[in-house]
Order: sequence, then C-alpha cells, then structure tokens
Amino acid sequence: MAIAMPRQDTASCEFSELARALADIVVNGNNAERCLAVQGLGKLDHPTATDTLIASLRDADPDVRCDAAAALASLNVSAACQPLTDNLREDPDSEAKTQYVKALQTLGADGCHDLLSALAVGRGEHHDIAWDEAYSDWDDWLDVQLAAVEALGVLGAEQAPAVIETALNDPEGQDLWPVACTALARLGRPGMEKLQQLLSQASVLNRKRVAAALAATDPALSGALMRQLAADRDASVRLAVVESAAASASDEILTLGLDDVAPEVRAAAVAGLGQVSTKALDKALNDISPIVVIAACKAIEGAGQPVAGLALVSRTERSLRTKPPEVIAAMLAAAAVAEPRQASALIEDICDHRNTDARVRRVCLRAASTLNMPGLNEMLDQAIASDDQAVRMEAISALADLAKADGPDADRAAVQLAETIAGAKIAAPVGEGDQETGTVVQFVPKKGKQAAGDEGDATIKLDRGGNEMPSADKSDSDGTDEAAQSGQNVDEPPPQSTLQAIMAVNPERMQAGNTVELEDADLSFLEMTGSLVRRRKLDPEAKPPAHLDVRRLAAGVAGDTRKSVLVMALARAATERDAALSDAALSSLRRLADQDIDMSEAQQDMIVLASGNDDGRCRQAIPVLGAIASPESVEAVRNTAGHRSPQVRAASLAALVTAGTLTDEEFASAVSDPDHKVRLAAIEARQQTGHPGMVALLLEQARMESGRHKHEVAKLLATGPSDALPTLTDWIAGADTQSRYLALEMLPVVLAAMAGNKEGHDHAAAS
Amino acid sequence: MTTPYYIPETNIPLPPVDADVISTACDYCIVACGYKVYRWPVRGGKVGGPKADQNAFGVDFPVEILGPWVAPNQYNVVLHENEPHHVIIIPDKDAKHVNINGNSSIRGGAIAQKVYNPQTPTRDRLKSPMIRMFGVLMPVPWDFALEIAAEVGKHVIEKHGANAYCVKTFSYGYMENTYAITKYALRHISTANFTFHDTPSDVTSTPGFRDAGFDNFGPAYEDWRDAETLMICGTDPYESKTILFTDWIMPAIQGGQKTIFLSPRNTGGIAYAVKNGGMWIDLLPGTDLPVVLAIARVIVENGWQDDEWIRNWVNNKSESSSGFGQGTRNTPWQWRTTWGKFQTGGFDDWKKWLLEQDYAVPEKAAEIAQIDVAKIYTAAEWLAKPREDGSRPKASFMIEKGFYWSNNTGNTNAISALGITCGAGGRPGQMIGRAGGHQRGGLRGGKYPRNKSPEKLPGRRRRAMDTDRYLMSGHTRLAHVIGNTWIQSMCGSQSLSAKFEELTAQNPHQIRSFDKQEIIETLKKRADSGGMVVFDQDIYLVDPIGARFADIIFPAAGWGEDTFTRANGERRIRLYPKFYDPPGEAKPDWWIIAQLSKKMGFEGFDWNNSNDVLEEGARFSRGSRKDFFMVKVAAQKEGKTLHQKLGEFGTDGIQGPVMMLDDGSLEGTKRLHDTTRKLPDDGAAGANVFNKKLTHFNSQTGKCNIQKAPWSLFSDYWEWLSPKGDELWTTSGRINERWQSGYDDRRRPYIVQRWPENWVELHPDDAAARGIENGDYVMLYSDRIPVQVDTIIGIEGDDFTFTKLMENGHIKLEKAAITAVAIVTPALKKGVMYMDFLHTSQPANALAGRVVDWISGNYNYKMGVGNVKKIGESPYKHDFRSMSFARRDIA
Repeated sequence: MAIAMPRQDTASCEFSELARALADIVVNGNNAERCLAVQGLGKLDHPTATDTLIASLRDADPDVRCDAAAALASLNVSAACQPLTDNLREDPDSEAKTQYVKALQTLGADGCHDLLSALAVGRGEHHDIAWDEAYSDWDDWLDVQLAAVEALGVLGAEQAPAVIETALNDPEGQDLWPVACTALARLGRPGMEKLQQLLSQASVLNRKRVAAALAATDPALSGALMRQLAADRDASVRLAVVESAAASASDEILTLGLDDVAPEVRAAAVAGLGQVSTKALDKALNDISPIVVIAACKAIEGAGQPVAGLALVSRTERSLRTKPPEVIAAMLAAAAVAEPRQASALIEDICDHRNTDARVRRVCLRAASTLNMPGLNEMLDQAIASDDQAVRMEAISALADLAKADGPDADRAAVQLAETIAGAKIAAPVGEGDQETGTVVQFVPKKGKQAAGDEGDATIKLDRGGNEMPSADKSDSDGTDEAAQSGQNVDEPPPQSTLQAIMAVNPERMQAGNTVELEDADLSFLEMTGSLVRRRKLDPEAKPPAHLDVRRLAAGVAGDTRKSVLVMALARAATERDAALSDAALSSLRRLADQDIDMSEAQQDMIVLASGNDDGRCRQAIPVLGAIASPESVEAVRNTAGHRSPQVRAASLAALVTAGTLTDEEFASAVSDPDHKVRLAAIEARQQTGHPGMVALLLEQARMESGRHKHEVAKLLATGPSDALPTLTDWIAGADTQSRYLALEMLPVVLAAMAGNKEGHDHAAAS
Repeated sequence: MTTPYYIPETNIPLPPVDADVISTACDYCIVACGYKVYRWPVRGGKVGGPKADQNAFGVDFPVEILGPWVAPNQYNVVLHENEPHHVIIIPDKDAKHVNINGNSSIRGGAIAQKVYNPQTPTRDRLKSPMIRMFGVLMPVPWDFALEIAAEVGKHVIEKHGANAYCVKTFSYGYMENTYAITKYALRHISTANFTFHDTPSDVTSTPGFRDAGFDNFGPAYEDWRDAETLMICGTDPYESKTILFTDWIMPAIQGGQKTIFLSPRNTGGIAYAVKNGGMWIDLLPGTDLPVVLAIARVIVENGWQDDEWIRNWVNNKSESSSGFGQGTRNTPWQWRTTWGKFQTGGFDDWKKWLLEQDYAVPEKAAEIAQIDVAKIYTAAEWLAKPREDGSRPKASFMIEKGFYWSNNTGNTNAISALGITCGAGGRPGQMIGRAGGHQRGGLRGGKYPRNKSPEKLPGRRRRAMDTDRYLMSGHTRLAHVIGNTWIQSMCGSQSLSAKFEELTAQNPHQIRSFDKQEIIETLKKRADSGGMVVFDQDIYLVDPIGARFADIIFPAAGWGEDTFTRANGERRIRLYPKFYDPPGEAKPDWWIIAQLSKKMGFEGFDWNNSNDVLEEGARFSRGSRKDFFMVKVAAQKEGKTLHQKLGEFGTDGIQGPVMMLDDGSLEGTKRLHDTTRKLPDDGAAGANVFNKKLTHFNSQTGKCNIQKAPWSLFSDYWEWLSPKGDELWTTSGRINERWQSGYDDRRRPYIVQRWPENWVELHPDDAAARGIENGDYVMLYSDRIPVQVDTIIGIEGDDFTFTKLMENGHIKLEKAAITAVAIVTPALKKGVMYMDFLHTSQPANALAGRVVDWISGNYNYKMGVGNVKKIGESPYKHDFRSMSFARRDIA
C-alpha cells in the first residue's frame, strides 16, 4: 500500500527533491538501486512519480518492471492499465507477467479480460503472448494461470464462468478447483449457476471446495447451493458446508446440521450456532456422540453465563462413571459456568473423594479457581504435590491467576506461590539437595578385574539420559538401600550389554537374561560412551523431579502476578544453583519490574548477581536493577557498562534507558562500542524513548559493516522522521554508492513513519 | 575377537509359502536397488520350512552360494494393521535392472533393521507431536501442536513477511512429500527463505552442467559400463554407491575399461581400478580445475578433440549468442554467459582462451595440485587419443560432491568443456553426469519466488536467498525444519549452532504454560523480539535442531510406513509401498503439511492418501527428467490409481520421462540428450511432451555451450584458505557402512561397534610429525574458519569475490574444534585430512569455510583447514573390540 500522505505535503519542496533524486536513479542507477528507487517512488505518491513508474514498465530489468507494476497498483494509477495490459502480452518474463495480472486486478482494469481469459486456459501463443523458453523443471505458465483465474473472478469478467469451466476441464491441467471456486463465488449469480452446474460431476473433494468457497458469500445468493450441499450424500461435504454456514452466519443451514446423521456435522452445527436454544442444547447433551456433547459444553462455556433448565451438574454426576474423561472434563467446565453454585459441590466432591483422570482434575482446579471455592488453597496445595506434571502446572497456574487479582484471597495465593518457589511444598529427596536426578542404572565390574591403580569404587552410574552420576562415597557404592535413599529405582536391572548402555535400555530385555559381568576395557569404553550420550541428551520423555519442577513452574509464572510478596522469594531463587530455577526466577523478576512493582527487596540479591562471575545471571539481574532505579541500583548497573561480556554491556545500556538515566555521552559511546551487539542494543533501546537525535552518527552507524544494522537504525530514525529525511535525501542524491544504496533501503521505513502508517512501517521493516 | 556387547542373532524364521510379497526399493543411496518384503503374521506361529514347497522362496535350504538365504539383519517384526507381523526384506533376486540378480550393499542388505520395532534401538522413533514446555519436550495431541504451529506461522508471515518463515527441507524423501512441502512453502507461503537439506540456497548444484546444457542425471547405468574410458571425479562409487560399482563398473574394468579417479583419498574402488590398469590422480582439495583444464589442453594441443561432434553439437559464435524467446533475455544461464566471464564464441574461441591460461599448462597445474604431471598426459591419451584405425575411445565423465563441492562453478564448467572436447554427452557410453548421492524424490509444487530474495548479484537478477546467512542476520523468525540436521550439514556448523542457541534457547520468551493460547502468545513474542521459533519434523529426535532448539516436534513416517514414489540415479521411477504401520502417531510428511496448511487457511490440501497427492503432482512433472504424467493418463484409462499403475512395474520401475505410444503402452527413456534416438516425426501426440532434452541439450539451440572456467574467480579463496603454518587441509566424504547422518546406523549394533565415533585419516608423515598414532584421540581445530555474514546486495562488479567480501567486513573468522579417532594411512594425500562427512556429534563441517561459491551460491563443503593434535588415546587403540585401523584402499 502506498503511504497516504496529503498531496500538498508530498508536493512540497523537500519531497520534490526526493522524487527527482529517485527518478534520476531509476534512469541512471545500477540495477540494484533502480529497484529500490522504483519501490521508493511507489511509497512516495508524488505527482511526478507516475510517469517515471509507467516508463519503468519498459525497463530492461524484469525486477524493475515487477516493482514498477506493484508500485503503480499501490498508487492506484488507472492510467497504467493499458501499459500493464500491453506488457502482459509482450513481456516474456513469467514473474513479471504474474505481477502485471495482480496489478491489473488491483486497479480493476476492464480492458484485459480477453487476455486474462486466454492465459487462464493456455499459454495464449495464438494471442501473440510472449514467453521465455521454459528452462527449468517448472512450467512458468502455471503461476500466471492461477493469477489470471483469480483476477477474472475479482474483475467480474462476463466470460469468466465459461473460461473457468474450460480451464477446469483441461485433462492435462493443474488442480484449479480451489482458486476457481473462489473466483466463481465472487462472480455473484452467474458464478453460482456455474458452480451448481459443476457440482453434478464434481468429486467429493471438489464438492467440499465448492462448499468452502461459499463461506465468504451472501447467504441470500448462495442459499440454494448450500442447501443442495447440505443434503450431499458425503458427510465431509455436509461438514464443509456447515463450516461455511458458520462463517457466513447462515442459521438455516446450521439448524439443518443439528439433525444430521453424522456426529461431526452435528458438532460443527452446534459450534457454529454458538447461541443455541436450551432445547437444542438439551438434545446435544443427550447425543450419543462424545464430540457433540463436547461441542454443546463448549457452546455453554463460551456463552459465559448461567443457563437454566439443563441440569448440567446432575448430568455430569451421573456421567462420572460412564463417559470418557474428555467428556467429563468438558461437562464440568460447562457446569461451572452454567450452574456455578451446584458445580462447586460437585467439584469439591471430585477433588476430595474421587481418583479421577488428570484431565478432569485439571478442569476441576481451573473451575475451582474461577469460582473461588472455599478450600481452594488446600485443594491447590494437594495438586501441587501431584505426580502428574500437568496437574502440578494447572495448580500453579491457578495460583498465579488467583494472585493476579486484588483482595485477601489473592494475597493468600501469592503467599502460597512464594512458598512454592521457596521449596516448601514438596521436600527434596534426602541427599539430593537441588540436584536433578532420574532413574539410575548401575554398572558393577567383575570382582577382581578392577583396573590396576584404581583405588576408588569402579562403579559407574548412568541416569536414564545416559548422564554419568556423581560418584558417591565408597559406602554408597553397593547394595540397594543407598539407592533407595536417594530415590533411585532399585528394581532397574543391569544391562546385558554396553550397547544397551549407549542406547535407551529396554527393561524387558534386561530382565530376560543373565547378569553380564563387564571387564576393565568395557568400563573405559563406557566412560567414553557415557560422555557421548551425555552430549546427545536425546531422551524426549525425560521429566524433571517433582520437587524441583514445582519450584521452576512457580518461579516461571510468578512474573505474571502483581504481588510484591513474591519479590523476595524470587530473588532468593535467582541465587540458587539450579540454572532453570534461577532463569525462571530472574525472568519473573523482570516481568514484575515491568509492572512497576516495588522491587527494592530484590535489590541486594540483584546487586550481588550483577557483580558476580556468572555472566548469564549478571545479564538477567541488570534489567531488574534498572527497573528499581534507586541510586544504588543505577550505580551497580553503571559498574557493568564496561563489563567484559558484550551481552552484559548491552543489558547495562538497556537498563540505563529503563531507569531514565542514559546520557547522550553514554549513548554515543555505546553506538561506537567495538561489539555489534552493544551497538544494536543502544539503537534498540533508544527506539523505546524515541527522538533519535544525532542523525549523522546514526547514519554512519547504519553504514558500518555494509549496513548490518540499517533496519534498526531506520526504525530509530522513524521515531523522528522529519529530522532524518533531509539527510536521507542528501545521501540519495549523493555520489557515494554505498550511502545512496543504504539510504534507499531506509527510505520506506522513514516515509511510513511520516505517514503514521504502522502497517507500512512494519512491512518495510520486515522486508 | 568377539565382543561382549554385540551378539548377533543366529536363527530367524523363513517365510511360509503364503507370505505377502511386496516389491519395493532400498531407501538409501542413489542406486536404489530392488528389494522384496516377505510379510506374514506372528499370530498363529506359522513359519516356513526348509523344503522348497514349505517356504515363500520356493527353494531348498541350505541354498547354494549367493542364493536367497536370509541373514538375521534382514529380518524384523513389525506392526501391520495393528497386528505383529514377521518381515524379511531382501534384495530382489529376480531383478532385471539396477542390482541384477539381487546384489546388495552393506547398507541396503541390512535395511530390515531400519523399521521400527520397540525391541530394537529404533525404539526412540518419534511417536507423538511434542511441544517444549518448561524446557522439556512434552507429548501433545496433533491438533494441539498443529493449531499452535499454524497460529504462530500466520503471525510470523503477517507481521514479519513471508521471508521470515524459513522452510529447510529434504529434497528427496519421496515425491508425495516433496510436492506437498514445496506447494506449502513456495506456492502458499511464497517464501524465498527456502532451501534443501544440502545447500544454503535453492540453486542448481552443478551450474556448469546447466550452462553447458547437460542434465545431472542424463546417463543410464549401462553408459558407465559401456564407456571405454571412465573419468570419475570426487567420488568412489564403491564407497557410496556400491552396486553401481560392483554391478556396472567393476565388470567394465574387468573387460578393459580404463578408469581415472580424481580424489585426494585412495579407497577400495580406486585401488581396484588401479590394480586393473586404471589411474588415481591424487590432487589437493580444490585443485581439480587446473588439472581438468590441463588434460583438455593436452588434448587440443595434440588435435585429439572430437571435431565431428564439436561441429555438429557445440554452439558456434552466433549460436552462443542466440536468443531465448522474445524480448528481454534474462535467464540464469544467460546472465552468467553475457557477463563475459564464461561465454565463448564456440570451440575455437574456447581453445584460444584455454591456451592463454598459464594454470592450464600441465606442469603448472601439476604444481598447484601437487601431482605427477605424467598423469595429466596419460589421462588425455586415455580419454581422447584416436586409435591407429582412427576410431576414438568412448569416454564418459562422472562427477560427484568431492568435485562439485570444491569449486562449484569452476569445476563443473571445466569438466563440461573437457567432456565436450572428447565428444561425450549424448551417445551410448559417452555421457556426462552426476553419480548422485541420495535418490531423486523431488517434485515441485511451486516456483521459487526469486524476486522476493534480498540477494542480488552485481548488475544481475536476484539470486535465491542464502538461508544460513539470512538466519545469522536475525531475519528468520520461524524455522520449519523437515527431515534434515541443518546445523551439522552446513559449513561452519558450530557458529551456526551458536546462533541458533542465541535465537531460541537464550531468548527470554520460553514456554512456561500448558495453555494453548499462552503458548501461542509466547512464541509470537519470541518471534517479535528478534528471536526464532523452530518446528522440527523428523523420524528421530535430532540433536541439536530437535533436541535443543525445536519448540514443536512433528513425528514423521518414513520408508515402508506409507506408499511413496521415487526415482534413482538413472531416473528409474518405482513405487515404495506401505508394508507396516508407522510408530505411534507418526504421520507422513504430506499429511503433516496438509493439516498444517488447512489450519493456516490454505486451500488445496484435502488429500485423503498419498496417491491423491501424487496424482495432483503428476501435472507438475511434465517436461522434467522424471516426467511420469503419462503413467497417470494410462492409469486413468485403465481405471486404476497412479500408485496401482506404478506398482505394476515392480522393481523394474520405468525410466523417466515416460511416454505413451500409439498403442497405449508406456515407454521409458534410457538416457537424456540421446542424439541417436529417433522420435516420431509428427511430434508429440496426446499429452506426451517432447522436451528438448530427450534428443538434444538443455540450451538455447539444443547444442552444448562450451564455456570458460577462470581459476581467478576462485583462486583468491583457495589461496587464502590453503594451509598456513602447521595446518592441514580437511575434507570429508561418505564411507560404505554409514548412510547420511547415520540416523539408522546409530541404531544398528554392528555399525555402532564398527564406527562408534567420527575418525580422521591422516597421512603417516603428517601423523608422525605430530606424534599421532592409530587410535589416538585427536583434536582438529582452527581459529580461522571464514564465515560469510550479512545478507547483502552486490553493487560493484566484484562485491562478491572473497577478497572484496573480506575487505568489506563480510567475512568473520570463527573458531571451531572437533575431536576424532586418528587413522594413519598412506591412502591419503600428504597434507590432507579426511573425515566422515556428517557425523552429528563430531561434525566435520565445523571446519569447512562457510563462504559460498559467489557465482552459484553453493557451499564448497569439501574444503576446510585446521590444525590437529593428539589429546590422548582412545579406548580402541589397544583393543580390537570396536574400531579397525586396517587400510581400506585394498583391492
């Protein structure tokens, strides 16, 4: 899209100068910059741009011709229709041809229907349509054909239905049905008639495509066709038309779907209708198919208000022993919305007395949290200690949701969350501390064959991931008691072969044979393979131990609350050995800091981390200090400005911006940092505050390393585009090739910012 | 010595007489030998007996030598329609093509071990979609994973543009899959950030062949057999395409064929050829061009060129400049030729240019390549010197990756010119082509959107995007990786890995929720914050792309788990039927792509089965080397599906392009560019396509273009890279026992035992100078790995030369280090080290320079340098339990 700037603005002196410079490049520049200049003219919408762009349709470079066509379409230059039509016939380049078709479609050209019709059914060589000789494994016409069929539909060409039918019936042709159906659906009544005619011979797949194409049509026009499809003998076609009816809000078809013999159609009809009558819901809830029941429950849940007359809770209670868990879960979720008071008792009963499926328990927790049921905290405590990680996650997530609100319940939830982070909910197994462990496989050498000189215990312990376990004291080396103490699986038999040690061990096989006694060479082999396996870590089913897992989960979600009571717990967790726990805690602290929570309780721990040897934690602590913005914290941040790690320096810079204390000198220094990450961080940080200033310095930065950071600089300049434009125009009109090219690349971003066109800005930045 | 950890099975059941027999082909190398699967249910305990009337082979056991005996590695148990079944998978003893009479390689011979069986090391196949939540990959339902992927994909395309969505995919994993994937990526997403497993950009692998007019896979296997002189560059078919060597080339050598190998490393195939009168030109990496041109120079100086062929089939001056259709000329071929660096005014003009090049003087070329100059003269004689009766030797030229990945444009231009000079390219036994690596399963569902690529060469049209550099520059926000290791298979792999780590694992936006919407929002934030989301679609969890970086894992189904279609190295198209159930919820790639596409709102993915996909894709094969459209036409006429019709060809298959004769029968194409072939005078009838390449060459006139191959376009890089100080060249390649990244081999006890780690071959002098012995652990390291950075547009004419890239700061020197077990062998050229090319935990590509051939955009994978030092002794040094250090260059 062109940038919508008032004509008087773009006709102003500075824009005229820019348009002249761009036009000059289109004529005299090299191929690379001529494309950019044409694109720039397309964004500029200057009165003098049109002639240059139309002339560019005859450029020797197909890329320029493509860009010119796109620019003329975006500027809506109707005078370009004839030259574009001529080009469509005469230009042999297929990429350019496709672009011309798209441009003609955008411009609503009406003089090209015959040409498009010819291209829709063949290469049109009898129409003197030029083509480059096919030179690869791809037939270029195929792309143009698709574009032509689409354009015929958009342009409403009179001959389109017949032409599209011919193209569809080409026995050697590509599959045009999806685009043809859409094009015909756009053509109104003639298109509908053609679609109806085509249906008689259409396959199931193509009938589904016809049904899908009706989604964007007026039901008044497509009603007859939809009814015909709704009575189709194939359920998947009926499903497709019900889905289309949902998109086009055709209640008549959806109501028909409620009585369909196929459950998936009934379910789609329930879902499509959304606001279904109590009678219809009652029928759906009694449906024999679980998917219909689930659809009805979701409709109830989606409505978000109590519903009388369904007796959903008693239905659920009756179904507990008879329906599958996913149905129970859906019914419970719906019951919590439709009959909140009665639902509480059922949920409490399920949580207290029934050993239900994890999915059901998760729904219960969610509902209990939403309903803020009495005893919720105890219920969540219990769930946090669950063996099922999904249940643990649900409980912790529920806690976090509760803590987001205000009031005593929310405060209590925050305290529970803090306790969870601190490790008070599940104790670590004895002797493990915070060390992650898993099932352990032990390898015991044959007695008397221990390597000479090896006075220690030669037992090698590998966990399920193939990681070598830390060696224990000699007294821990044999017997199963110690293994039991440390939570190891004492039933795990030794493997039959070292190969099994390399691969994931198969317990069934291991039990089938005798113990294998390994020799010294095997042990050294195992040491080496253990190292290999350690590097791979390929066990996709590995799960962290529960006591550590809940702490990590809680630390991860705590950042979404707004409770200062969590700050201290998170700060402490951030200093712990477990990297994942620390990362989660620091991430949450940063998110809390973004919400203007008082972070002063974390200050001391963050200062310690920021001055520590762990660069990773240092980098993460700095933003928290920046958010605290006290003199002490800012000083700690400034102390890291010269840190050895570029990542830390970059974080330091961003934190100073957050604290509002970054000086121009510090910014200039950062922009000149030897490491590009720091320079980039400086530019990005300044984007948040806007008003770039120092345009010349920034442009020089953009030019460094052949424009590595040009996009970021452009975005920064876009925060003060009026300051940047004169310098950019100078560069574009200048003699230095690299500068000119760079400015051309940055121009669309700056122009987009001037027009306040966010879409254009994003698009330009992305491109 | 026996081993305590690999105890092979000794007994397996024979198939009963009523066992199902399914024809298929091997899944591994380009040769694609024909195989048969014997399948029968476990239930009931029925097995075949040793008498001929008691088993499905119809032979008495024990059988004669080379009879249809079955090895334990050829047996497995699978689930078929949810019921356990025995399967025996053996080469087809009745094969009339490819592996005639049922020979097999060590890879294919054990292909039964590939299939999923939870009792074997294949148990870790991916079985359900997974999402990385709280740092752990957790199994989730398909809909859950696909809906998240679709939402994130749509967001990335909408917010950051189509090019932010990268698709890095295999190019060979069956036509049904590649059609679906390319339709998704190129037609619907329309991203220029797309490429295949073995290249950073979607460009031709052999630019010189394409410009000359040669198809990569024009020859038939019998052409390699029928050549009197066969020049093989950058490969030993015995190591990597065993049956092509043992069944086609070895018999020819026994019959007197003179075989010339260009390679820095001696191997079994080379040793055999040399022992039987052949020759090994033991050149240094990257020096093929001067050697090839020096051979051509000797030929033209002696007047041994094939004048008649050149007169009839080589473009003269006016033909070289003749046009392409109407209007503006701007094809990939043309911009290279009009640029003036390569185009010639015909043979005489090329000869004049050749004689002016000092590096093409045999003595100078021999000095650059460090070879005996006599070999250049001998090669010229063998290839082109007419016999006393005036007849000429029939010469053919086979190249592969060791050659075209060590000066991509230059080498392929040079060998094309040498072949043309010798009259090769379009006659039986006189052909030029690739030997091939993997099978040919590509089928395009869309055109690469070249005009969306940000890369433009000076004064020329845009070139396909370098996906590695685009990612390194931070523009890729979503990487969808399908069936490849990406990181280890690219040059400078360790720096690429570090970037992946930064963009994924180190990004603050990590999934910390099980809620679908929250997961979607987190991944969107990741992409918006400059990070990257990774989808990985594969059969095993691959480290690191899947195990460490992927957010969403899609489990794929492979060989034998759905019905697929693919061609081999002589365009022989065969059906690979489904014969067992994929593990868990794994699905074929076409299905995964179709579901994802539908959730993204794309039309045209409503396929019910793989046959639907191929029938749709058949249209897009028209005119290609694998054109099988007429098979579909025949199938429809006979009321069959395309798969049913293809299945009728059994292990014979049919060679593309396929034509329908007047009587409705189908005829394949033995070789492309067959100047001896007569097509009907009245042209193509019905839907047949008479593509120019059937009887002519892929050029503007149908004749060959003979092109210059300037050393100067490459020599600055070669000279900069050449070993300095104590450095040695490092290069890499395949070994017989391992296929690709070893994804199956790592799960085969014998192969793990034989090759537990990567290894490096060193010349004894190089090893002795560093105190290295067989079995030592060594570290290969370098602090000058040239890594090309930034996506840039060329403005000045030399912007993409290595020298200019260096000057402009687009080359960064990175560090890399890998370990390996040393193998000291005189089979290797002094000054060169050689490793397995794709060992995922010790990737040789870490040391290969990540600088693309600036004309084509391909990597020169086979060229790296590094230091090597001993870091200790491996367990294998004094133990025969596992690795062997025996020489492999034995005949």
